[in-house]
Amino acid sequence: MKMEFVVQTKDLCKTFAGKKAVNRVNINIRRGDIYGFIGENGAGKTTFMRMVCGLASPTSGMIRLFESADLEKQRKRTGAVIENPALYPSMTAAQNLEAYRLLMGIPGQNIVSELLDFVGLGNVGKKKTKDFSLGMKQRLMIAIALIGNPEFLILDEPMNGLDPMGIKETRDLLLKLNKEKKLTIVVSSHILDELSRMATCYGVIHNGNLIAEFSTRELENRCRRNIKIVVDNPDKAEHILKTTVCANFDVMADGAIVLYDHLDEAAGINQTLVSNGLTVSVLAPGGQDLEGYFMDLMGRKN
Amino acid sequence: MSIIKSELYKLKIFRPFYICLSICAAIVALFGLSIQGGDVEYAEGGEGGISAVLLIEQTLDLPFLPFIFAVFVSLFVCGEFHNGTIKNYVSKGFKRVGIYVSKLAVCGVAVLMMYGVYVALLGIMGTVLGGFDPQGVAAFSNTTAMILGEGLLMLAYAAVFILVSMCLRGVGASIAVNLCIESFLPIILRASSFIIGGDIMLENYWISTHITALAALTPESGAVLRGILVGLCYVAGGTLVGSILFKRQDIK
Repeated sequence: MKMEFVVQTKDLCKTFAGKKAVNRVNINIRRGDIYGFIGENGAGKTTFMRMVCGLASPTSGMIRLFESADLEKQRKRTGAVIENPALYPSMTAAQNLEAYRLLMGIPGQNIVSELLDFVGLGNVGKKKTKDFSLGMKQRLMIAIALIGNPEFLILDEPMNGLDPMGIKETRDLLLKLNKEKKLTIVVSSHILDELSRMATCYGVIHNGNLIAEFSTRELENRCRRNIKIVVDNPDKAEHILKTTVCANFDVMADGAIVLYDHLDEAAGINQTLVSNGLTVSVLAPGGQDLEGYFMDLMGRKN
Repeated sequence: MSIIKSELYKLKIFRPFYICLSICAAIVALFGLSIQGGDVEYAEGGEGGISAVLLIEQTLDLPFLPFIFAVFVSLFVCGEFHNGTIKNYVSKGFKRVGIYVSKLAVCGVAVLMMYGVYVALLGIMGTVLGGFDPQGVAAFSNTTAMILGEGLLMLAYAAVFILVSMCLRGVGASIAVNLCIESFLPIILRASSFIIGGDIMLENYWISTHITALAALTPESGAVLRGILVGLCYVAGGTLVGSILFKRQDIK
């Protein structure tokens, strides 16, 4: 049977001095996903990632990697960049990679130059990493994470401090890895617009709690431009919109109708509903991007 | 084994290691200059003589080698925490005990190399200045026991310094504490023995006491065995305690 989940957690908790940094997080990350991890500073993203990587031990709960509880063995199939780029500053890029090649017991030195070329650092020569720009350090860290052909990458804010060109290069690199090497990637970032350009699903963490999980398709549905209509009789309104307007819409759990087309005909739709004896209490344009949706979520939680 | 290969590779291009080796060599050169200048007397050599074995015997218990080791180990071990590179090891699925033991092994190799360079240069310089053992005071077995025993005790120092460095993780703090251990612990142990009273002499359980006892071409009866036992206890105990502590701690 083909393994489906790369990361699974059950009631994962981490407590620091009585404060729950991660509180009963249940997450399932599927193979092939680019999982965007979103949260405010101190929400618990890094702590969660550190536990998955083995840098911090959970206070309680369970982690499974590649559907196995033997985490040390399975971590050999992962690559991670947690917080700042962790490099030997007085070594060159090739020397840094060579140290990890030896660590992973990979024969032959070709892999070092191949990885440097892959991340666009093939021409840095003998320049020491302490003289690298942040973008170069980030790319070298990704190369280090890729040593040993991992199937799963964990990247904690890889866009931090990068200029627009660096951000685009990192995004393109991650998309390439996901597409060409079929890597599953968990990436946290504050740059939500960037995240929305590559993630296939999202998890939102707030005060240590995972408050929302959704796919890109669900996000598109939630965020696409729409008209929200609240009427006194949703069933009748649904019937009218289907038969008279032929509209594409959803009826929400609270009875509100979200209309995805005929967006320029709000006045006409209002008139149709009213003329059919309905009382329209709300008829408002809607639609957000990921950032708007995130802010909305945070607002509700606060 | 792969983790030790990686550590050895890093040691090979770790500049402070070569600086420490150079300092060891420079100290021997300073001895040579002092002897030639007549600042150091070697009356024990008899007939005003100086020889390689006497030079080794009389300088092995000087405290500067452990000082150099303390600084080197702090830089080598704490550098991983300072740079954050220790995270890369753990996140690649290497066992914490394996990481600790690899640090001990490679620091041990480095420390023994420094000690080896020091002893070898002392031997060469002593031989050049006055011959290897013109007075015939050294038995081969005693000389070998002295050099190997002292080497084991140097490893014991390295084990203690690694334990401190892995716990403190900060380069500055680790250097300071390791130097304080080397400088003040024998005094503290002696003072504690006086306070406790009785026959217990706590300083007899510390490494430096045995380094002094072993630095003799005709050591006291049992001194070699005691030195070896103390050295092994510190290496084994330090590794056990250090790896347990390292396993329990989160890595930032």
